[in-house]
Amino acid sequence: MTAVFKALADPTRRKVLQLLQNGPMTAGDLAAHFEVTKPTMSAHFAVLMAAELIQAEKQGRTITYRLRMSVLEEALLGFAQAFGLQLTPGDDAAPAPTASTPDSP
Amino acid sequence: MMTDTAQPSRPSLVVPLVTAAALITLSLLLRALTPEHLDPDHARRILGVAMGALVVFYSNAIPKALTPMMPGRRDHAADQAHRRFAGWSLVLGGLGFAAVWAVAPIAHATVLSVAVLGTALAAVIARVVGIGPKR
Repeated sequence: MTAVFKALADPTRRKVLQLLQNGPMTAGDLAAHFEVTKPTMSAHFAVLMAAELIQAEKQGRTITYRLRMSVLEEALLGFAQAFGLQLTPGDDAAPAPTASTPDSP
Repeated sequence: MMTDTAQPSRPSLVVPLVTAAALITLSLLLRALTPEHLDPDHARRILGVAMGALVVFYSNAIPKALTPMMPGRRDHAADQAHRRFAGWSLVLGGLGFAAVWAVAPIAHATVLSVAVLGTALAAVIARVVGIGPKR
């Protein structure tokens, strides 16, 4: 559950989850909604996958992400989004960029 | 061909069997305690709340149970929307079921609880067959 709170603490990750509520999206389509570097987006995706809130499926060089949230997790997302909660102190900053970018669109 | 990078784990039978055993044990325990140690109405309420909690527990996981995406085979966005709707509808139905058994007059609890959960289930069925709200 700590991983879920950590994932939901960041507004970028919450926005990713909100976008995925409309249906599966490729990494490129998701990244187009944010003004951050690809490594940073990859790190955000990694945090969300570690919390099992999204699932990645790969076709060639394209990775498609889709939502994998329980009802309780969605309720937590809505709560965090509505009140702008920082659920875990110090986790609101973007994660450190990773060296590899496996999810290039 | 599409490859899963994060394949969902195979569902285990352990949790459902333990849950079923716990529910049967609770039923037997309540039966044994009534009427000497526990009011029969209280026993019915406890069992009703437990069954509502069970519905909530299993319905909560419905949107998380994904199947591999097959290109060109299904509308994945609609599939996801159906799962989310079913999860939310049945969780709220289960909460309503438990709430009815907790606070409603015992004479009407059976009818009301079945009506609440039945409405939630009917909404899911209507959505899946395409006569409900789209989002």
